[in-house]
Amino acid sequence: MNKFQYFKPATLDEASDILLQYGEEAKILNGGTDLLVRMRDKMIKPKVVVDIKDIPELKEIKYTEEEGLFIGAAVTMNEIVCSDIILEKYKILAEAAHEVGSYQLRNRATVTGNVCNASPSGDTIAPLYVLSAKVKIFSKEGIKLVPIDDFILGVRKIALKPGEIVMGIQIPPVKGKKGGAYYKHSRRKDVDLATIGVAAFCNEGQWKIAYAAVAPTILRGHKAEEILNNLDKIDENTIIPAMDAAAEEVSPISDVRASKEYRTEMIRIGLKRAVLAALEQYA
Amino acid sequence: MKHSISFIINGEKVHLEVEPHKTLLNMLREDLNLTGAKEGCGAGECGACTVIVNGKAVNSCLMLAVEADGKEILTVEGLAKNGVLDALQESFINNAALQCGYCTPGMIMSAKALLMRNPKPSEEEIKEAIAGNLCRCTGYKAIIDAIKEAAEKNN
Repeated sequence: MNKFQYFKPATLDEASDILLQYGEEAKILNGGTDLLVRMRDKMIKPKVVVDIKDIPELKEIKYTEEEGLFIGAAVTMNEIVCSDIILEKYKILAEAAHEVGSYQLRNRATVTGNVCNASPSGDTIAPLYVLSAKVKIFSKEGIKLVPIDDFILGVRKIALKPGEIVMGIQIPPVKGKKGGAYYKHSRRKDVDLATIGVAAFCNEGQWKIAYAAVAPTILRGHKAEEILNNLDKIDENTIIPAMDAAAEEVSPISDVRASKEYRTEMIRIGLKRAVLAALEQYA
Repeated sequence: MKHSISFIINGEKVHLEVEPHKTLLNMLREDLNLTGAKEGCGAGECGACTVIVNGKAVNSCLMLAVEADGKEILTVEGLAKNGVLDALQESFINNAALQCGYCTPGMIMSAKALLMRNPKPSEEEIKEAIAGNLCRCTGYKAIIDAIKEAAEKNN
């Protein structure tokens, strides 16, 4: 690892000042499970590292009936897996957080880090798309909320300006009947990235679908959603047109984990499994 | 610029000056001569560097030494008390749960963190806890048996 200066600001204002001062040379350190690996491999060589884990408002999980759920940037995957309110109201996110890396990694990795890393295979991102999550961003000018699909622009590309810091993720409240599931297909059960992933969420009969690892960003499955929304009864047979739509609306590549043909076939299966699992939860 | 940090390591208070780019793993091995935790992959995939920080198992290769400031750290060297081995160390011996031993300190620390939060884990919970610890020679069955035996002794 190259040498760098380390800062551990106690407030968002202080963190923002440091980021503004050093611009492109500064990187935010949160759980470190992506950043430190990339620094070790010398893919990135920041001169300044800003550790935001000690900023108090980034550590909280907060739920209100009006605003829904806020997950602070420094909340770890394991804290999400064990959160009663998330298990009760947003189980799909807890399930997806549980799919990340290994137990040790989940003690450090964060959902906000997963989002800011903006990998097409990030396990918690697809569930955030179907939950209509927003990214809460701090800057010296004020706080703003950006829809997650506007925030993630491409592979490792996010809409974050100099001096801005992601405070966490805001998820709107979900009223009425709901059910959701994240299906991850990977070569082995743990410590692996998704070959493909599908998040399916149904609220009052309206479906939201998102695909992982089959495009440069997480992709909403609008065609599959429309078909599912118009089905009277969803089962293994009636879902086939939605599976075909899923295969049509993704654009996977071939890489070390799978060929594009395999991914296209597995996204059909992934859609079926995620939707049927979501229906089992539907209540 | 070096940072001045204080933390508790295996029950003992320590004060050190560390460079920011040093990992917790390298600080343990180079500055404190605690060479139980190993570097395997250096990327959080093999678990050979697992130690317990504030009661939680973490990959020490993916944590900076400066982040240890104010924390309480337990490594495999801190398990034996007054020459008496920890139940896990005993059960790893009883079950021949190690051959080359490279993964063992990390494996034991993952298991220790598990038993600290859950004294009666199921086999599934044991497998989940050590999923991030790779073993290439012993095989996992003996390791799982050893963790089960230690859990039984605890109860």
